[in-house]
Amino acid sequence: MKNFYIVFLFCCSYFAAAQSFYEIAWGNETNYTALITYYSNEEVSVRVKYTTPADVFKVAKYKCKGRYEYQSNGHKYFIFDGDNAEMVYESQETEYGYVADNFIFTNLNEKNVFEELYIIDDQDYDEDEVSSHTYKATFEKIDPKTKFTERYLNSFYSKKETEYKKLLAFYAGEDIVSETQSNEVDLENITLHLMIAADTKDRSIGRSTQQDMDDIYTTFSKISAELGIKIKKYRVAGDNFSKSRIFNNINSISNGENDIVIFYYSGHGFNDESKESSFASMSLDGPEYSLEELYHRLKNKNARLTMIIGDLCNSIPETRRGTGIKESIPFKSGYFFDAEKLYKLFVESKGTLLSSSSSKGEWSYCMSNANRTLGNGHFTHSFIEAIIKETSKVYQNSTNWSKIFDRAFTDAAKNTSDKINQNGRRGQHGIKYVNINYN
Amino acid sequence: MKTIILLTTILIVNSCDRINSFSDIEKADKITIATLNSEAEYEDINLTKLEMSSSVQIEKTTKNEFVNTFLNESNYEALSRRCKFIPRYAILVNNRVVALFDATSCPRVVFKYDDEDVFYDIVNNSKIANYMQILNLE
Repeated sequence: MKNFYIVFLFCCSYFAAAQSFYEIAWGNETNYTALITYYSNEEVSVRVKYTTPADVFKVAKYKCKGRYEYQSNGHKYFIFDGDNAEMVYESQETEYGYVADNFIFTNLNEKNVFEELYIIDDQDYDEDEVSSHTYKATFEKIDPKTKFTERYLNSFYSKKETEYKKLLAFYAGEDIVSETQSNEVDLENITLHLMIAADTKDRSIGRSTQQDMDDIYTTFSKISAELGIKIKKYRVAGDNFSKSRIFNNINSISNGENDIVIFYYSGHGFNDESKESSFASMSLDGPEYSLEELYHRLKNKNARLTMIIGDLCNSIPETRRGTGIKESIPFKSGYFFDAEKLYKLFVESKGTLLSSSSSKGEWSYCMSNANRTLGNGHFTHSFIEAIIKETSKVYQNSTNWSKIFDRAFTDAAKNTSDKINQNGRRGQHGIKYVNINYN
Repeated sequence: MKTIILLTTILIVNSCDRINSFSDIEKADKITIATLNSEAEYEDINLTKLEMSSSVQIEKTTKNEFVNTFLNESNYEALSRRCKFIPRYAILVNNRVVALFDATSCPRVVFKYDDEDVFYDIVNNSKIANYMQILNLE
């Protein structure tokens, strides 16, 4: 139980989707072990293996969807609701199938940690029999690089299954940029200039922007390490959060023609009905300064790839001057990049991109952690999730920057759909201008 | 699914989430609501030099209407909007600012305490904005 608690403490601290892997074990007369592949709240893949008292080894599979539920007193718990189980292997044919399980995370403590996990088989019994169909479970995050041996995976998957081969590729870290790619471009000569301006001292949303800054740095640092390109970080935050500091940092960027320049803003923002730009203005000291103005300024640096991304409100300040809830969940992200996809996005790409987390006349929202502290901005969370998912080894489709932003916008809109925005629409709806070509 | 709901009812220990920030206003005999002259962002407001263009006194006899309108928990939710908060109104009890709020551009309220500020986003902002109009506060 101690390990279980630690895992949850770790897992609830931050969540940014993509696939990650967990093992859950429970049982009484029969011991069940589930391998969980977590992509997102909407997409959780489960394989359960067990041996019956009659010594028949079985494997079942099903999908889950996760969501928070609230009691009438406001207390919350998290559910992964399983459905449509299918038996995929039996060492000996039997007449019994498998009923999909439901995973319930409970007892949220003051550290924003779910302390307990229960498995419920909720079919074919009366409500009076609930306790006999409920099992306390243990829970462990898996590192596929060490855990996904042929023997281990073969206990859940047939070797003929496509998924088996994909998962096996995680074992022993087959995730480095291929030699052929490395030979085409001298990756060491590419630098990713990542500048983040975050209003971390703001008394209302400072905590959220701090989280955004940390997570964006982490994500792009991992990407640069994965590709073998250099990264140079520029930080405009805390007491240094000012327009002049942003300009100074921009001026200090000495980029080569094959470099990447990314500017990420996390803070307050607004727009103005009289302005033609659909993209928001950042809430900085002095005269208004919009993302679009910054876009033109950075474009002049002539980097190979330039991206300006803002997680900020784009709302109209009416007559006055210019100016969630998505909770942490029990699973933590995993970075399992497909090097070829990263290569396309960061090495084979050329052009510019400008993005704002909400449309003109809309607020952007922060997430709330389960303990009511602020988490990431909804857009930032969805953006990181989209990058990780679109570049994942498991995700089969090809990707590009447009797809990543579209996915992030869709997810952020969905996750804020409980909010009536300033323009009367539900949720926030990001906008983008993309002019990127791929070799 | 009904089982899950039943079970979690059994599993989870009860607790109660309340907005405790209303107490100063609820207890007061007389409340002042004022329109602020300043269009400063909340971060820049000096509470000791608050300039007000107009104000109304809410006495015991009319307090219920105010309490029912303003101090309704369904009006509020945890802060999440990334908009710049420029308070338009102040609520004062015994000449002390106990809350500042805006019900239009960035609908938000901050309840003032000695040691901390407690923020909420206002969700039923049109209801509160209408009430301010009824009070003849612009």
